[in-house]
Amino acid sequence: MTYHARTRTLALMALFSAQGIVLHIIESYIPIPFIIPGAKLGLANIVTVSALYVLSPVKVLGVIIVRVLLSSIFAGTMITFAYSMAGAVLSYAMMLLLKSILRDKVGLIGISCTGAVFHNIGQLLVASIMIGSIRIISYLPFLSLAGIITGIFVGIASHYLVMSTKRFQAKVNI
Amino acid sequence: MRKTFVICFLMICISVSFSSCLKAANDPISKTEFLLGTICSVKIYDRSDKSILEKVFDEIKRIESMISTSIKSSEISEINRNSGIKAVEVSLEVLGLIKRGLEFSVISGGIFNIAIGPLVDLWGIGTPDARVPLPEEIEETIPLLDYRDVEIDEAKRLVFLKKTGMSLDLGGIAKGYIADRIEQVLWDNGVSSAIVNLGGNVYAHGSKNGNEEWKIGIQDPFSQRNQYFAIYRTKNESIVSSGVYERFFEQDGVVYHHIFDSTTGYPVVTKLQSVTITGQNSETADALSTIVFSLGIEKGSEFLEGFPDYEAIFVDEDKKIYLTQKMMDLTEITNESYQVEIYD
Amino acid sequence: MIKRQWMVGDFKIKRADLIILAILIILSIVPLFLSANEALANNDIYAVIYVDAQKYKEIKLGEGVSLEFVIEDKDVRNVIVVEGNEIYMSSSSCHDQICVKQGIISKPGQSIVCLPNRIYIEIIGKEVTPVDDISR
Repeated sequence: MTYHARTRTLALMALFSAQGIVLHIIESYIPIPFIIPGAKLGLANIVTVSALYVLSPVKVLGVIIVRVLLSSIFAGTMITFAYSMAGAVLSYAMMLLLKSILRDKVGLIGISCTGAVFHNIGQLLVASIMIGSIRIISYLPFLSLAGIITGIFVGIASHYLVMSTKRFQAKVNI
Repeated sequence: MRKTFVICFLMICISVSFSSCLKAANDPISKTEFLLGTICSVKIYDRSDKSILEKVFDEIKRIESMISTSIKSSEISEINRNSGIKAVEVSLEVLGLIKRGLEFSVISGGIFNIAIGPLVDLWGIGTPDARVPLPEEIEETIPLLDYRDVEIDEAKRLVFLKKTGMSLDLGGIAKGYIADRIEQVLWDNGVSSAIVNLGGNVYAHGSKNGNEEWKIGIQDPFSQRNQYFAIYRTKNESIVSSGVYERFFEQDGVVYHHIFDSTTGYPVVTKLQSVTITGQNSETADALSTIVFSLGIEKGSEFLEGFPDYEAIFVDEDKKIYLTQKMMDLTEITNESYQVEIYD
Repeated sequence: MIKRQWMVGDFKIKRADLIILAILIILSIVPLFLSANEALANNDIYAVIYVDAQKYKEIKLGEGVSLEFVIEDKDVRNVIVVEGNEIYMSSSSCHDQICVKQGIISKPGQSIVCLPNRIYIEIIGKEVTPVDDISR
């Protein structure tokens, strides 16, 4: 990669991370009636999904790590960090897998909903380890269905974000 | 493509190992021992050094050896043995404790009474010899219960019980005092998240896991041990309950509990089943729980006004809970058979 | 037959998306049946016996469990019986017999204490405990 390209990519990663943090903080003001710390709608996924279509896989991982780290520092505790990290990493792994296998056959909605559901699965798995009881999985249906609905919205939002990013990149000739 | 799979696999591994580590870090270390005639347990959440637990229990044993009436070599036992005979020199620590016990006796007009020893021994509550004493025995004992007959010489650190047969019993503030000492030991050892339970006298040290509130259950006076009727949320506070259910015995169908009225020689007659006092200082909360319980709801809450940083939750025999709005906001009633009445 | 893709504005919804969505919804609903089935429920409760402040034994309670322990040392002799989900002190050498009178315990949080003989039995469940401790 040329020097300019590297800098631009870095700037793009930083932009995505920042957007992710802001989205996370905003949605932390929306109360979710579940006992899992860090359980949330998943708006920050807009950023993850978009990045997935704009950057290379490893760089997206970087964005996610920065986003989760800083979000927990600004609006959470060590515990929310653990839950967010587990959820984010698992959901990214599955989204990446899905995109790599199905490539063009899958649209943004499929990707983002998968991400949402596995984010919840990741969080519940961490919760069941922390609490020591697998019974916590009974929260999954509710969290996931809510997540799927948000996922549809996230997919649509990501679509427009990706489109405008690509348009911008084309204009500036990256 | 292969690279993608590898990345995914690695990430899944990371998240699993990450959460397992955090679980290990989150489990408290704890120790439970039979001390002070009851069960004492300490749970430390933010340190994994078990020697701190040892230090805490060493402190409990150290103080117990100085003030317990069942340990013959304790300073209190020495004072009691020499009642009516001579003054006994005590350590600065015990002197301070006796002094503060006397202060509580004075401001409560004798409702809290450190000189209540002879009455406790007479009734024998908590021992296999518990019985209802004869009226003559009680009459003989009452004159020995006057806290004003406890003489202290601060300069020479002497304590003298003027009448023969008098005895000190610090049971009403002992656990509270020990909890306060444990608080110091915990701070000195860098602990900022722990729970101490000395026979039901709870001290919630710092906050849970960073900044969460502790959830302390309050014993249901109508149910078995360890059943609670409400959950109180707090940080860095002592929670002490006094009730008829703690120590009692039954004779001929009448229940006799362990909180005595030194003017009558009998257990306090009250409609209350329990009182729970919350506040910063364990020793004060301990003393207040006895005083407020004996005074009842009205006089008790009036008395408590002199202690602005302490609150109470009353439970009466009709399963009614009395508490201020401020306390109501911090308490979750988990047993529906209770009614709540908020007072000012 | 489902079309390969739809357009909503300039947004494409692909057939694969719908299939994935269906799979995810099914995946989410499955645990509902499982927990109704108690298959995933962790109902394990354990009785922990402490003698002289040391953990003496941890017994898993449940259907079909039938055990009897005798704790004997100098002048201490206590017999603890486990029957299914219940545990109790069937006899004790202590003078007040409070531990025997306490009867049967079977739920997490319940306990039996024999102070004179320094034996303490507590039932714990491996579940979320709603409270950190109890003030008595």
